[in-house]
Amino acid sequence: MVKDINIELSGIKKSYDKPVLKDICLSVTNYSYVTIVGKSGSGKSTLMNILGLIEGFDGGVYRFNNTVIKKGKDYSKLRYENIGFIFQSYNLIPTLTCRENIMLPLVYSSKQSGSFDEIIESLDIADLLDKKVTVLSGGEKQRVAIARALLLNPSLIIADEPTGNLDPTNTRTVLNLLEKENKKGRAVIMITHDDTIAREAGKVYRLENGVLHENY
Amino acid sequence: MIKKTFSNYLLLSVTAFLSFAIMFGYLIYTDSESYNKYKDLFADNPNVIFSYNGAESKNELRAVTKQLDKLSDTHYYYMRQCVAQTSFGKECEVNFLPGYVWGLYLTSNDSEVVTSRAARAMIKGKYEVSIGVNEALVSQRVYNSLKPDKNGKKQLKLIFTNDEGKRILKKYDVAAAYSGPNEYDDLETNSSIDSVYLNIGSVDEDECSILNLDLVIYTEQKDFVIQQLKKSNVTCEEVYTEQNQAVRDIKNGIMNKYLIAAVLFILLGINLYSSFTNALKDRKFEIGVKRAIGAKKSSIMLQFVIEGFTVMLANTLLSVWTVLSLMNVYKFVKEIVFNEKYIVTINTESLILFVVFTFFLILIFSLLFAYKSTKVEIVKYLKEEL
Repeated sequence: MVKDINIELSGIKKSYDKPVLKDICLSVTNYSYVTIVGKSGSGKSTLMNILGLIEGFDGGVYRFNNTVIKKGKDYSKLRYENIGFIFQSYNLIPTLTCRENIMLPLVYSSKQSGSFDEIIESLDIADLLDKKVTVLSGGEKQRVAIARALLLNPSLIIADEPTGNLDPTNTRTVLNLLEKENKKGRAVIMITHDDTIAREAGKVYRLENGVLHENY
Repeated sequence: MIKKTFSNYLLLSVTAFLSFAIMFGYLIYTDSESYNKYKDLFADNPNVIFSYNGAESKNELRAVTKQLDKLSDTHYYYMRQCVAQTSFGKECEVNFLPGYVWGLYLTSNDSEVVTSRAARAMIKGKYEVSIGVNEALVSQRVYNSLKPDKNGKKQLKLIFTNDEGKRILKKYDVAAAYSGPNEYDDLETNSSIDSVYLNIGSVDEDECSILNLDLVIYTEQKDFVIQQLKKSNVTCEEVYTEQNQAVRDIKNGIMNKYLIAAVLFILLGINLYSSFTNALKDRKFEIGVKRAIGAKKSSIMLQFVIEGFTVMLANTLLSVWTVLSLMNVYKFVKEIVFNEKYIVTINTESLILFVVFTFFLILIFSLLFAYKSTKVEIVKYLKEEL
């Protein structure tokens, strides 16, 4: 059972040396499947970080399930209760085994995972559990990373170039998995530079010069 | 990455180990050296006062003893000294003691400490010795030079000369021989003089020329007795004064120790800080990932407090063990190679200093390590690991 998710960005601004995001508006709820495309340096990852509550913003309003997100506050609880991250570079801790990497969120959450076996089965990684992540292929690493992202049953999956380092077969596997999770009711926000992959989603946005264009 | 993380903790461990080993090593070494330097002095009874005024001091000393007789907790004995020749022509210093004495403190123009230690060596740690009227206590060297008689007994023959130049030969059974550093060499004549101890009843005063008349006093009222001795113009030396001087030296040593500890604290602190920063540098990716998947700052902080504390504590214990082992090797070398009895010790102040020092370093750096870990920007380090 996926929890309700309702996030709304309105007029979000972010600058470093120069403006990166200008007046971003975006709504995401359960069953949303959104991709954001854009060139390198267009601010895609910044937007993803803001959406994922790991980076602050300079202006605008961000509501996450009716919580107004404020700058400088730590939203780790909202993160582990609602968001699963999938990264292009997997971000698995190399000193740990696959099992330990997957179970890592449980160290920081009191929430019980009732679906570990189901996740492992659906991702076909049972044989990898006791291996160190350093010996895995890119596709295997990404499946382990997805398992970690799904462990706490998130209502939102944020995927930053999840297929960026994968071959076509593994790319297809990952996209199928995301689609499957989306159909369960999870919202999926995927960042990609690949237009073909972007078209997999229900809604495609292009980020250009800091402005988010809808229905690209 | 694993190798890198390990090498970073290794670097931190080496720094922490060396820091604590230097500190603990410095404290235990200085304390042990100080203890071994002064242990004999502090083993001496501080209530013993030794006084002398040469051969002509009989009246002054008697005036003092009249005062001493009135005091409770005060005892004394006279010790006369003369020079005699052994039957084989060697000169030796003869000390006349009462038949029973409660302590043996010898006088010498060279060094009171050396002679009192000699006495200690002679009576093998006991403060009591008894010599019969026709008995002598001789050094091992004198004992070795004596030839046994038909019955296998060794007899010491001494030739005394009185003030009028008359010579008299006397024989003594050797009651015991002692070993110790009371045989000293006369550098000017390149000859050695041995000390012999006889019962005061062994020779009449008119049979030998008395060189010194000494008074050894045991009292619980040191200050008063010293005052009386000074009033009677009698020279006095006391273990107590030497002990006080040693206490002052030790106190100065403690001050220096605190100063050096403070300097070490700063230097080692800087070193540890740098090692902790290095260790943290390679953990930033891990922190970034953990924070991204929902770890609170407090969880990360707790993890690094525990890690920092464990590394520091383990290295503290290891450094203490290593230093103690090295000190035992040092002790072994001292005892086997240099034949010196050496005791490894650390006093309470040093122990408290070390505990406080390590506690603060462990606490400060574990917390600092943990605090810095929470300052890691999640975004910045997430893409580092490919």
